[in-house]
Amino acid sequence: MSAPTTDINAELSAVITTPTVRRVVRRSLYWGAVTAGLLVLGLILISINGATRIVERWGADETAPLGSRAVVDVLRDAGVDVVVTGQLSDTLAALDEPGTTLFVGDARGILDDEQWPQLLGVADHLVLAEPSQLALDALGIDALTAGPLSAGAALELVAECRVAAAVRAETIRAAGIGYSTIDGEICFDAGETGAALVELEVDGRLVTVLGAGSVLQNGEITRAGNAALALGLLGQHETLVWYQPTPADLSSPSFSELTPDWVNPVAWLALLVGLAAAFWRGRRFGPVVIENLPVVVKTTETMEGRARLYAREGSRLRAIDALRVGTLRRIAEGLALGRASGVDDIISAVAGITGRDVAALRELLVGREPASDRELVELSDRLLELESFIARRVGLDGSRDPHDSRTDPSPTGRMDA
Amino acid sequence: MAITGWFVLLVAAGVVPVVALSTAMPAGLVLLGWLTLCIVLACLDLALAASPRALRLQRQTDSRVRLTDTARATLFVTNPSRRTLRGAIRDAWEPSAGATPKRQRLLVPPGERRAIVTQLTPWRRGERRTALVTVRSRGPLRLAERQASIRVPGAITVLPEFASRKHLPSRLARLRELDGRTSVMVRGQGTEFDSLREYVRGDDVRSIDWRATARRSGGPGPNGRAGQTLMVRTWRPERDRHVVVIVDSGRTAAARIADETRIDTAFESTLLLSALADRAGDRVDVAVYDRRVRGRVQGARGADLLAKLVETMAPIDPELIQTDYSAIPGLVRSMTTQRSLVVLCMPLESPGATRGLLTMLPQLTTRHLVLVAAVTDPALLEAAAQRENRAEVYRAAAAERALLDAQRVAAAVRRLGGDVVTGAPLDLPPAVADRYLAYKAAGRL
Repeated sequence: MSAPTTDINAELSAVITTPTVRRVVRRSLYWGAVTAGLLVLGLILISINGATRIVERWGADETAPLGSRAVVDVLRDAGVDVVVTGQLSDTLAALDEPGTTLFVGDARGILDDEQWPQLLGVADHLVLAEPSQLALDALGIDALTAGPLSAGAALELVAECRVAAAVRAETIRAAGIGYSTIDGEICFDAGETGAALVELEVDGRLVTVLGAGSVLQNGEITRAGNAALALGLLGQHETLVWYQPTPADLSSPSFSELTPDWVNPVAWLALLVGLAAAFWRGRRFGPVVIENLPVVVKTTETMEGRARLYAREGSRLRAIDALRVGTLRRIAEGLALGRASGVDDIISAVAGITGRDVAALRELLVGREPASDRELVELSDRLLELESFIARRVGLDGSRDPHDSRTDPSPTGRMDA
Repeated sequence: MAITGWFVLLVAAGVVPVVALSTAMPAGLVLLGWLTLCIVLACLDLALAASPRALRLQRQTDSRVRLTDTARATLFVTNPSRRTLRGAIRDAWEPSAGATPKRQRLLVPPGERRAIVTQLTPWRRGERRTALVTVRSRGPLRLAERQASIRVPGAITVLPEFASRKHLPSRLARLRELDGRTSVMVRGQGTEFDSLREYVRGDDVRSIDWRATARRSGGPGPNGRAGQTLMVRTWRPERDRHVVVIVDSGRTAAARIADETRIDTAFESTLLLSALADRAGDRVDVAVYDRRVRGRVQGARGADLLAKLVETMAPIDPELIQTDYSAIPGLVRSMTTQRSLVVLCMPLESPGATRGLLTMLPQLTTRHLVLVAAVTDPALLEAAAQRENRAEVYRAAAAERALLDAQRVAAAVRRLGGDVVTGAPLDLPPAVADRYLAYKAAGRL
């Protein structure tokens, strides 16, 4: 047994289980250092390898196979002044002097039909890389998209035209979009899917629609005459403006432009208030108290299990027998027949009291075998009815409780011992 | 550390400067500034709050309480620092200790002491403990709180309820009747001659001792007349008998019947029987047993007996092991040498589970008077009477079968020379007491 706890009134040495700030810091130092080390390592790795980002097609600084840094570098080495722009206004500003080539590679389809015409007639030579039909319509030039130049593998195409750069290139390996034209010069014709290069004259200025955008890419430039074509097209003039539209060119106002500039900070503030509220409500007032509770064993489990077993197996006879034995026992007790009395004694006693037929009582209490569950329920009802009838007759109604340990009639408290 | 709702409101109030100043300066900067201000204020508040670590705590708890009664657990909080401590305190009692209130406000001026009183109304027997006291100290700005949990162990012993003590007065009255202390005199087998006294009206005329009357009348009467006083004999029941109670604390005692475990019912029966038998002048020895003796009270008498019993019983919970019945005769032999009333508080359920009990019973019945006190489940009776549909009829059949099993086991116990008393959890203790009185009246002890 436990030691009796007499008045605990002793001054107890204060053992404070909540760690101090210093201890928390010291304890978390190791893991903090590990986390910081991992972060630094990650940053170093990212700065070396570069983070995962979207590779922009024809990007002037892009070293990936889709980029075009090779062409731009070669052109710069050859003395061409390459100006890389990302916005329409910058582009137009860069085109103030004559002798310029304007390359427009709108891979993401950013420019709309009000911005495209502004590019027309500002440079001596306009090179469009794989323009969409929308762009062509907006520019109002005589070219139509015909179809994809290649299905999967790049095509080997022959110049067969009078464009000087194309003639020098002789053959190219092209992938991109084919174009058709009515008045313009077509080069590298691929038949039904259109030509890889279309040259037109609009208002006295040269416009080249380059359908084979792959020609400019780092990954493809060394194939066949690709390099010759790229350098020939873009290196004609002293200055090359390399314009790739960026989201800054989007003419429709963005969400942040439409809302006042305090909306974002307020949203952040709301988040922080939520966090603070979570900490306020969630901070535990001391640790949770653990208590070992005893198991709870229900005694009726056996009975329930047995009942389910009876019901599943349909053991009607067994069930009704159990009910009959219970009824007989209670009747015997009610009539004070003693524990030794047999079924026949009880039946005759019941017949005497109720005035019912002995044979019928026997059928009910012993003989009949229920053929269906309905019969079983009916038999059980009749047993109950018989019990309550006898109880009323004997005048024991209401005091019927066979398991009550009321004092036995004999002073010894024993009937059969 | 903890923050208050005021701190959350303060952070939320940042929306005002952020919006109002958005024309003058970037809103992001205003937000950052506001947050910095909030944090600085909170840190300042923390620094100004009284330290809960410096508190001196003292505990004064009632040492024991009866189940369902209420005890007081007092915690003295002394603040030795120079700052007033404002905040809240929580005394972390086990849930079943029923502590209210769970957390309380705390205000201790510097250098003073305050008593924090928690009311304990336990709902489970045994030793209920508390280990930690958690204190939160709020800063003067009410923004942040310092928090510390301090280990101050405390415990209270929760004694068995002894709800059946309400049956004791009526049983004691019956005992006094038996004892001859009242005018009604019972003369039964095995009762002992107690004394002679003068006849008073109402006494049983059969108990007049004519011989003593004659002797008495031999001398001169009070006023010279002889033969005026009749003498009657009084009887008292046997005294100095031995009652041995064995309580089963095995796995079957863990079963819960009508919201009370079997072991609790057995404890109630034991307490009532012990109180009664002790008043009747009998010796009561109690052992709680499963495979080893979990608790034993021997040789105690009077008020000491009940106190020792409840102390012994308080921490005992049933073990989930099968009781070793074969060792019980040996246990009884070790507790008594004379013929005794041996009360076994054990379940009588199915013949299979009771085989061990039935096997060892003859060893006891040859020497002692054996009474098996078993709890019956009122739910079984209920289920047996409930027969509305098919499922319920099968359930009733299963219940009847269980009742029949219990009856068969009881009959087997009787055949082996033992006696059986059964009852629902609330009825069993008085039933056991009544059976004891019946034995006493019949002089069978």
